[in-house]
Amino acid sequence: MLKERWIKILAYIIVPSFAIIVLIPFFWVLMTSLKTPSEISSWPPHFFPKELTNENYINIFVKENFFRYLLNSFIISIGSMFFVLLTSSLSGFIFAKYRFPFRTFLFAVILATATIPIQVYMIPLFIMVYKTGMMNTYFAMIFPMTIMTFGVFFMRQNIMSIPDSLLDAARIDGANELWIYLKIVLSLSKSSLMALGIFSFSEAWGNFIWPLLVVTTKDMYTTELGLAVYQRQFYIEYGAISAGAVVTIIPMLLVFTILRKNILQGFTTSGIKE
Amino acid sequence: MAVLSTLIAALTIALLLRSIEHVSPFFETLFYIPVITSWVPASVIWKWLYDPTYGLINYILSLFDIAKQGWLQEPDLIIFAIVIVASWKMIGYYIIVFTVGLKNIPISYLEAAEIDGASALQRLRYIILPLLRPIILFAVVMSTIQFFNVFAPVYVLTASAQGAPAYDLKVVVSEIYRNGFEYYRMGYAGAESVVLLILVMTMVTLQFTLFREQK
Repeated sequence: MLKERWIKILAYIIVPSFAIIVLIPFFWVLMTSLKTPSEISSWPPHFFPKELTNENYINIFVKENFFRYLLNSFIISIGSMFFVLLTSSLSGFIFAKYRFPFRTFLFAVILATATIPIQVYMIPLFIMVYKTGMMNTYFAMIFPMTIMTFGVFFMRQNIMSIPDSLLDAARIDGANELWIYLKIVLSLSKSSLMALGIFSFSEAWGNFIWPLLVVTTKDMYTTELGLAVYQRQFYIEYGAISAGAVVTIIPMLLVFTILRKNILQGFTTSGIKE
Repeated sequence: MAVLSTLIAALTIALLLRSIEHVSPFFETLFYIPVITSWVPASVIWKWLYDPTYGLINYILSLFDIAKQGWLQEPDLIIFAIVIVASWKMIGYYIIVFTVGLKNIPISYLEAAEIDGASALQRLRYIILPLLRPIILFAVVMSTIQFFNVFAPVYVLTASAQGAPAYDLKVVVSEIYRNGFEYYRMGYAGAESVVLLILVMTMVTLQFTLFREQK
């Protein structure tokens, strides 16, 4: 692209220094989580702790029950991922391969809601949950995240690339529509299901405002919520708060490092193309 | 402001990454780490960096003889503080978006321009930017919607807990939250949601009409 020498030199200076700036906060929080309280409040601050301590981690797991929060987050994220994959692949299949009245219109309606974030409709959603007495349940936390408009669009695009002749051949051999969906469509769209699964998992994991509204007791807290509430209560205990932040980041970081290729190439490319 | 700072920085980095192609995947991954970090831990990390007495940022400033700032206490500073957090978190995503866009520009155009003697800046101005316009537009719309819906960092960074007099910054979503769920004025909060909805829909329509003009 731009291959001039001075641009290359500029890139080699700017890009790594920018990377360091981006990564310092993570490094700093990790170091803080391993420091003793007296060292945290020392001035000037040390970069590396003089004596390592695991006291902060013990604090959050024993006193604050972060295990429970992690478990809740996993239940919600896995649940949401499962339902998003199911609804997206099914409706994507229907929109891609069947003709029925108002098909384009219905698809346009679904697509129009794609960019509307939950913050816009959380009030009516909350009233629904409240009036039906579902407050503080896993169901209430998962159900706004069972259908993902982007997922429907994404799966439709992918399933459209499956040739019709393949499906027709199966029909001639006597396969019913459910069999076609389960055995042909799903197995041919494995990689896109994977990308969508990761995406919906991380969306559910990072969701904060919705659990904040519907959760009322501590044993239903997600890690996000637990951390946010925890840091409000104990402003001074930076060590424990940092440990909490590290614990909250690690699961997503693991998923990311293992499946990096899928994440970076999978949905960013298909999200932009029309 | 967050939109501008994020997108300009992301575009610059994406452009620079193209000129050092062989190491770019490594850096793209590094820049993506804040994106996969969710808002709450990201804000918690920054809250500690911004700490008025022991924070790292004030320490770095003190090396340049700048007095300690109350980043989260001064009404003028807290908005910058939140812009920095939001930009830091989202920049990696837009670096990837722009990288994808840049990779789709045919090399032959650039080579032709180079043979005709166009300088790097001229190629940027007359070839890369015009061809990147749809992507830039997409990024502007998406990031505007995203930043308008920022809530968790405001909730975390302005939390006025014990011994932490933080300035009470108001953004749209935190206002909806406060009116609806702290004062129980659901109707008022509902009206605010409608305003937010109109805003989002305007952005989306804008994008669609501009896209159509391009074709």
